[in-house]
Amino acid sequence: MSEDKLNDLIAQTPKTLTPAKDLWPNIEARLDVVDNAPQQGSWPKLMIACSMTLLAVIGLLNWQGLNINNNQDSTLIMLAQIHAQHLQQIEQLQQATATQTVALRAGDQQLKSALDPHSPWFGAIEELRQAAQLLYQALKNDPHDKQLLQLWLWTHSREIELLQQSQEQYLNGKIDLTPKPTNHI
Amino acid sequence: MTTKLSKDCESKVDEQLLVAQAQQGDKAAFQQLYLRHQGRVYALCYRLSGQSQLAEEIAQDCFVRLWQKLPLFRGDSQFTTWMHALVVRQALNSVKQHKSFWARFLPIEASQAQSSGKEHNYDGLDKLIVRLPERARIIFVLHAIEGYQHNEIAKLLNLAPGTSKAQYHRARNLLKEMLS
Repeated sequence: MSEDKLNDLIAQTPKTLTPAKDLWPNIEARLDVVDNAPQQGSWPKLMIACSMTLLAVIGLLNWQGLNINNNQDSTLIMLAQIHAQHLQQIEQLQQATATQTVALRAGDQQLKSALDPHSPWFGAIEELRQAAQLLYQALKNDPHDKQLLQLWLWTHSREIELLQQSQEQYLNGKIDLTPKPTNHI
Repeated sequence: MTTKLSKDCESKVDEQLLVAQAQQGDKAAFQQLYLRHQGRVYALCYRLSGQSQLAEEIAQDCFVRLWQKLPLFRGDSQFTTWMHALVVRQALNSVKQHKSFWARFLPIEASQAQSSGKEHNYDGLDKLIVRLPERARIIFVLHAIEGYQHNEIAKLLNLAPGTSKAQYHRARNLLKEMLS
């Protein structure tokens, strides 16, 4: 009996259903983002620049490794320079994110970028920043601790990676905003 | 009969024209295609995801993907056939992505509350299939409603054809229990 009922229900199932709201405005806004994709070409360049700067800093640190122990003041100055340089890179990335976020927001309120406090990316990046801040304070007290230094530099590169991942997924219109795992130092 | 056939032909010609215009980047033409197919796409997304809000997001993903892939349509098959295959693949990917996102960031209770909240009162089978377990529902929808064979479903979902058959029968039994 229920077999027949089920077969009848399957046969009667309509091929179409009407959504509760008009989906076109959101779709159209996302098409614009897709159309603007070539303008996002500056991102990879910026990321390459960030990575190269980090590599240069690591190289410089290795080169100066022998002298670090002899000159605490110059080490502290160098740490401050790395810190300032990193903040500048993050600011550039966030400015780019903010510009694109405004464009996307116009079309889809549900998408969240790394700049949105409700985004999971935001929490992950904030935690990383707090860790970096603690490491920086610890390094000021003990600038010759190489492991601390490596960990601090790793937090910088990871922060940039997370910003890049969030931006890429955001621009692709994907909702899977889960931060991807990365290799530890 | 002749009138119906000529109307079908007209509709196909219109669609070919719209597809060609959309392939050139004409958003108005693409909007016309959206209007023609939104009900079909949304129905599929709703039945695969089991949630109206999620279905709206997934339907949007499908049309954005369609826009991106449109230049690859060469007209070897009918547009609706090509579009349907693309939409099924995209909808399955989106269901997976959206589910894993919510499962990761929301407590299970909150996620369930969100999914069972603001649902539409669709009739008949649509009322029941949302109560099926996810995998059984997806396989049931693809086989019973969309007409896919078990070996095709197995390829799409990366599982054995036997698993597809077993899940389909499980879904049928659950639905029959709901009906009795």
